[in-house]
Amino acid sequence: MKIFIIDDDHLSIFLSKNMLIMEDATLDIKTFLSGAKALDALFASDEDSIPEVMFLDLNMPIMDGWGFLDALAPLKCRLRERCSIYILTSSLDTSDTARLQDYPFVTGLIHKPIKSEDIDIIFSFQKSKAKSLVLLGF
Amino acid sequence: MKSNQALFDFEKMVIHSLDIIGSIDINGYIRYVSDVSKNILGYKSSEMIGRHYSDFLHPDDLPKTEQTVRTLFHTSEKSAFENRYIHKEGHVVPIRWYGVWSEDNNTLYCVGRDMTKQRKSQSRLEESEQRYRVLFDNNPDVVFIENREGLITEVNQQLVKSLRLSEAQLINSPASSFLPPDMAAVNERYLQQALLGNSLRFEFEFEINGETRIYDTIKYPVIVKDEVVCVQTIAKEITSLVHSYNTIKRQAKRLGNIFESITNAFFTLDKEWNFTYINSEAERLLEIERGCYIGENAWQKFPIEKNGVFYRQYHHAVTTGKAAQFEAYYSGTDVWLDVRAFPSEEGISVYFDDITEKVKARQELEKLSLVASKTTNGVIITNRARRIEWVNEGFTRLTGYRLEEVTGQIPSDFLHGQKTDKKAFEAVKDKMVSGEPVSFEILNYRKDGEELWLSVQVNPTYDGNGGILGFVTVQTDITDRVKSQQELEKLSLVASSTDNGVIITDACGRTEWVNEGFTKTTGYTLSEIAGRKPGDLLQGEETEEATVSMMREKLRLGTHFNAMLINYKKSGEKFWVSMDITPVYDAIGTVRQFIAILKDITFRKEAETNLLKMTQDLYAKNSDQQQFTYLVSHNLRAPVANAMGLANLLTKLNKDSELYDKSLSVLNQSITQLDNVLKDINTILTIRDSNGNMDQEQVSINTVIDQVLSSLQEPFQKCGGALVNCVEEGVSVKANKAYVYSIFYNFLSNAIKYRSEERPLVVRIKSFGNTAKGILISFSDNGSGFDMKKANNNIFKLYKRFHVDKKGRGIGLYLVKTHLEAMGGHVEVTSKIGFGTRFLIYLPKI
Repeated sequence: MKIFIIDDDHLSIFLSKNMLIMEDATLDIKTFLSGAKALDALFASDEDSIPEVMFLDLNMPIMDGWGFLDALAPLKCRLRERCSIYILTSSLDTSDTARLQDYPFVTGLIHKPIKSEDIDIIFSFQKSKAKSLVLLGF
Repeated sequence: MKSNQALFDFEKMVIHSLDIIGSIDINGYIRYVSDVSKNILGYKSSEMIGRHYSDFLHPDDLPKTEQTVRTLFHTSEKSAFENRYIHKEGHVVPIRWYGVWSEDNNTLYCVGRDMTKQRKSQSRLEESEQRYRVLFDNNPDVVFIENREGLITEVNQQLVKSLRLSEAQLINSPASSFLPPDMAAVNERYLQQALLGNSLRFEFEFEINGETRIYDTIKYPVIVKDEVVCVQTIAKEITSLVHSYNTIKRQAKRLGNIFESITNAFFTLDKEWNFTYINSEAERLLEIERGCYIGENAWQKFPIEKNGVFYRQYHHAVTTGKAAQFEAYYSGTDVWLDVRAFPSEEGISVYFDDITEKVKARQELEKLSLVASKTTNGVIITNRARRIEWVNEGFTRLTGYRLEEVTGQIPSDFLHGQKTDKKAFEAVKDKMVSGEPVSFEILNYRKDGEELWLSVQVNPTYDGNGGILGFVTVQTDITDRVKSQQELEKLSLVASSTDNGVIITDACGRTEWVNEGFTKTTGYTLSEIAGRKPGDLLQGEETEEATVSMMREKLRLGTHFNAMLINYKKSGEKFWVSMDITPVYDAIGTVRQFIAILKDITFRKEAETNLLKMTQDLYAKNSDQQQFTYLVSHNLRAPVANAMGLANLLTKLNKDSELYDKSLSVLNQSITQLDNVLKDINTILTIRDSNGNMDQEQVSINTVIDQVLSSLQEPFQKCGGALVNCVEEGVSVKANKAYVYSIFYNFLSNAIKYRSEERPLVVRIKSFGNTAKGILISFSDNGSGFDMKKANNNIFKLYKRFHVDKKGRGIGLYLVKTHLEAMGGHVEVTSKIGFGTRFLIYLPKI
């Protein structure tokens, strides 16, 4: 499974990446310290290299998580079926939760630090989604 | 044979005779009647034979006939008689009989002739003669006939009556027997003429019983077979006719004198419109010489009048036969004439008077009454008892009462009401009744009960002898004026007692009046400001020019408006004033005055200013609060979250693994990060709390720059940076030294951190003067710069960072801003990617 982690905090990336590997060592994880770099990778990727799961930090310099989501708009259709986007933030600010309403293609919001249970839920969702996609003939 | 032939012929004659031939016996029964009976009496002979003759006789003729017949019997005399029979169809048939008695056979032989035609012509003749006889006898004129010998043969009743002589006395006498000798001679002469066959006409005049009578006499001959047999004379008495003619002549002469002496102008025209008479007054009025007009055609003499009023009126009078009366203007002598024209058989008589004065007076009066009836003022005309004779429409408009409702009433009886000042009116009334013209103002009531203030002017009218005839009253509605006056009185009462300042100016804005409130507020008394424009005294240095021009514009337009502006009291003290300005209009809508109400709103303005400051403070605090929340939720929690996660991860890792050590190191970094954030928070809170209370001293800018430079000497020199310091020696500012240091430290460390890789770093510091108000310093570098658009307004915000590849917490510039604001200053930035960044700081001189 291909996973992107986008976060300007390398400490947070270290933690998130290792927590994911603890659950599944076969994961293909790519990490980005800014949204701009992640976007470059996404626009450059073909169907197969689009990640199935994306973890996105909100509080980043220059382009924050919201800016990144806005910039994704041209890829929205391509991403919708393939990719589950999760906001991974340390923020407990309720305004962030409320703002999520404007981005329906975001699958969910996880408060840092990411826990084993969170990862279990994400993986099982991915499996059921894959199944339903098969059923739908994709 | 001969006798037979004779008998036969005889028989034929009897049968064909047009006369009726018959015989009756001694008893009167008809023995024979010829067939002609059918033609004459309608009966066939067979119907008559054997009947008694009396059966066919007219009953009235029976006795006479019986008598005649009896005498006929037994005589041999032939006898003729006439009687009447009744025709079978009922009409009367007169028959003339010849009868002869035959003793031998006791028979009366008769021959009868139908006399119907003869009787008819005879009775016509008799009737005609009778008619002429009556005409002759009853003729109102005197008629008599003289024969050739000059003797009177016949006279009529009129002559008998006129002469009072009997007919017998006159017949066979000559006319000279009753005529006076001179007249008898005249008669004789004319008689002889008539006897020669001439008709003659002449006048007889003679006295009868001491009375002169005049006869219009005609004598004409009566001619039979070319011979004058007699002379008929008809004399018509014309005494009264002659007398009246004489009377008329006398009258005419007398009239002439009258016409001359009457004051009316007078002339007569005949049927051809020729002047037949013109009197001297007419001469005078028309300015003509009558000698030149008599006998002349009026329309030729007065050609301008042809088809004019006179022409039309006279023609109309003549055509209709009715007298005409009219007034007309005669341009010839510039007069108005009252003309009466009487048509007659002879033409037309015209009387006229000069009524120029009257017409002019009447025109004046008409004009006046037009004015009186059309004026918006009420007009009342009363008699001397003050009872109404006439009111105009204006009165009705003003009071609501119509003429017919008020005629005969006294105006004050129905116009006065509860609030009318009756005492004042009584005083005026006494004057008025004494004949003095009066004018007064009074509260009246309309018919609908509405109050009506009137200005009333009463003038008496006099008769010829100086006695009062009545009164003419003119009313003017002054309700609006009185009401506005009352309003003004009320207003001025309010104005004089209010604490607000009140100014009344004329239309040009020059003060007419101010109240005590104005003096209390501004210190200026009425005498100081009277005649001057309030603005000249009250406005000053800080009065906003824009507000003043707005006020000027509104005053010019004459609209109500409100303005708030800074004014100055007499003492020079500045105060805020709210000014309500209302224009006062006169009846025709032009501005007469302005009323300005001034309120000292300094207190309010100060409160407003304080409120604004409080709001701004609150806003700042709130914004700080929000930033702080953000800071806690992101920047403080981020390292905590990491630490928690790492602590959890460590429990799952083998203590000997490389990852364990690595994780431990990361945990350590996270805790350090957490500590940094806590330190930052401490710093920020310290600055905020110290707001306005920090230690301040005179800080030399260059000294601070030197200190910062020495602190960052190592990295600065390492990157080969150069500092161009253009701040003059001695430039100093009263400020907190640590803050000033922090500001320059952050600027310089940022310049080093974000320097361009393409060129060596150059930093320039400049100060702009040392103004009275504060100091302006620019700090610019030639570094990488940033995108102003992307940075938006976040450059000075806490934990905002704009470089991904450079380390930084995003607190430096936030601190710069916070420090400056704490000292009452502020900071601005301009930047361009690839060229550099320039900060501009301002510090006030306290």
